[in-house]
Amino acid sequence: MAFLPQEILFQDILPKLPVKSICRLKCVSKSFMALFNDPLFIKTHQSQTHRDKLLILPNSDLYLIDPKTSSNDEKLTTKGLNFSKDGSIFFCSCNGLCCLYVSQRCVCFFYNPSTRECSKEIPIPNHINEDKCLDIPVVDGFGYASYIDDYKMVILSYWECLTHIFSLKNNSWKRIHQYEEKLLGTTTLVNGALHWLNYSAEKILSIVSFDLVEEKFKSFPPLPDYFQSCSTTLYVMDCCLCMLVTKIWVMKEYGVVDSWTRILISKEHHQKPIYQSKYLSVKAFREALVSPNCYIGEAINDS
Amino acid sequence: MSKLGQAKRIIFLKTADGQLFEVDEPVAMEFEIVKSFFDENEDAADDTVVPLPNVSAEPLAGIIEFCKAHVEFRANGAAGKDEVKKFNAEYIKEKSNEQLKELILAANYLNIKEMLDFLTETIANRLKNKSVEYVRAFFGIENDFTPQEEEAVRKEYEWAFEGVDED
Repeated sequence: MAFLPQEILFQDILPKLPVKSICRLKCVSKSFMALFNDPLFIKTHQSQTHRDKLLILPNSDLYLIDPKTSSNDEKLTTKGLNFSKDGSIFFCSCNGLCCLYVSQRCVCFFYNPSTRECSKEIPIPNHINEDKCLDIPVVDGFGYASYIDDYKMVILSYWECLTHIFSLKNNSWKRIHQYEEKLLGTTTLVNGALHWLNYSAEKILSIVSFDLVEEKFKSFPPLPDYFQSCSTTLYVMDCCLCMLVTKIWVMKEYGVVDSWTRILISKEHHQKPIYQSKYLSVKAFREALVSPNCYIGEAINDS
Repeated sequence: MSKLGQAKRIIFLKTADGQLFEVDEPVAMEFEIVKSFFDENEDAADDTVVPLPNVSAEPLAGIIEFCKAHVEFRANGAAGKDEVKKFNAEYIKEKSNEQLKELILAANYLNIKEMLDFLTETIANRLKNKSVEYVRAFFGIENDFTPQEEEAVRKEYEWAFEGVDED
């Protein structure tokens, strides 16, 4: 029987496995375990595998959906994630790591749904909350800056005229002046910066960015005329465009109108259509091994 | 047959088990190791035999079949299209795990990146739902955890053990 050299095994085969297989194979041997926890391997894995999933939060449970198979959604055991039934939860994701905010308790978590690893609770400073109504998402942006290998969460607090930034690596908050206009809606992470679509006082649509390394806002020149009347929010998932119009639709082949495909969600969800669910959130994220606790210390124990 | 009707060059390759292969030049040049052999010996005679002491005849024949098809796909502008996927699926279908390993070893030695990528992807796909014991046996890995240590890891990732194929 032929055996493959470790180099091929570690560099060419194992990085191609899904996260679930990797979590299982951690108990093959100590060298497997060490490899799978190695930050370099985690990065290689991220660049080689592109498995995008949807994380759905119809109420207080979390569901994972694979748009490729689109039939079996998996309920996540939210060990350590102390969701209360009526608290609204808002989340953003980046590199497979999700930032979840539980409004009722004014705390957030960093959670990797693929490895099911969860960070300890991070309290949101009280004064920020006075500005935010309980049902409104409080976290305005979450992103990764590879240059400094850090994840940062951004909260815009207009009440205080401040922007709060939480760095996972430093496990601490920082405040800077807010942007001159009120930024609304979801952010898109590109190039280590968060981006908002922003209508100026003159109703001109442009892009405003927040650089996660420099921690500075920057306004781009206005968008060309033909963008000015657009009002679509799109997700990007596995190079497919995604839209949420009462159901989840995926454009399986880029640009092919006939390829819009509805993602099936199991019976349980049909009985309670997701668009009627008050606290629905849907996020696309890319499966990854990234550990929140590599950045901010110890994991909380399962209970 | 060359499409342009030019006299095509044949490259001679000799395997570890002494078999001589005659391969069309564009196919042989897919093998980085053969390409660098000729880059380094520019004045090598046309009938030079390139020795491949780490590859035996069976995997080499498989590799030539794969590379020949892929060279043709590229020439016909079919790279990345459905017929390539179909060929790849067909190619791998009847191969046992042992044959796959032999092919990987040979593709690695000959340094054919595209094929190595395809083969390792295939192995990863075959292993993704397999048990820990199966993977240990597959790669010849010794379990150096104590039973207690292993149990602790298993418990931590209990959910990852759902839906595992039978060995």
